[in-house]
Amino acid sequence: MATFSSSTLLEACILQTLVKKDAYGYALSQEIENVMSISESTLYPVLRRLQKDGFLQTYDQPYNGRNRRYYKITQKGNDVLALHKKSWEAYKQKLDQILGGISNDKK
Amino acid sequence: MTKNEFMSQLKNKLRKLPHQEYIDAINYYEQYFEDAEDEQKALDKLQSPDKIAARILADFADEAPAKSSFKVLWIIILSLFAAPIAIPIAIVLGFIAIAIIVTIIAIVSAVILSGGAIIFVGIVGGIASLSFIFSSFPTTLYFVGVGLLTLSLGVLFIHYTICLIKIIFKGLNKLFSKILRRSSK
Repeated sequence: MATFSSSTLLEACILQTLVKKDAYGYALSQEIENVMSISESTLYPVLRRLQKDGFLQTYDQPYNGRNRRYYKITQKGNDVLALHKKSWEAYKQKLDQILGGISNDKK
Repeated sequence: MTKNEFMSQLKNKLRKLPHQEYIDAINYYEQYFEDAEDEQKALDKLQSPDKIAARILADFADEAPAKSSFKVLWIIILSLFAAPIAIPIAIVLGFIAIAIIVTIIAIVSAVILSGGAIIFVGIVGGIASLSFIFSSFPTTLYFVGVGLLTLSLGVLFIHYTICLIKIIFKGLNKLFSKILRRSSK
């Protein structure tokens, strides 16, 4: 059965955002906020988890006389993102079988 | 809540974590506030320090290798007291956890003592039988053999008990991290 949990969705969104470019914590939280509410599971624990799993790497860069920690997606992260996208596709198709009819009716 | 209150609560909840874990988490939120244009708005978007800490601790417990499970279990128990569940429940859970640990320690010492006793009997039996060595060599051989067998059984006994204990601690960690995770929702 195709399922897609909200935590997987959040993971996929973070990874996809980092495919485009490396980001620091605050910028990343702003980006993610545009697409989904992250209040239910704050960003840091998820980033930490992703890093432990080897999907992300971090590096520090000086900014205004202090350090900023940037997050960067790894090859392993890219691989898992591809898997997430596949199961998202499968899930979406299942949903469309149920909900897709509505928009078709209106055409 | 102000930013300073948030940070000091978070620091308090996470202080049992290994130093690097602690620094990483604190730095993240320090930088988050430094990068935000509006500190109060940025703060409103965050969950409570309790919930954030509970999640980090629960993940931490899940990741811990079996070797360090006792230490991790201790961190988890301490943080259960700090978890955002009702204080009476936390206290009860904490005492249950301590009771479980005391019980385990008691069982372990009992088992290791018995194992030690078996090994001791094996050694003493083997040595004592040496006194027959001139009167009856086969008897000596027999008792030395029995002694060695007993000794090895004792070693095996202790070894498997230790394996069992490791599994129990791993299970306890899982259990407590589940409780923490539930309380962080």
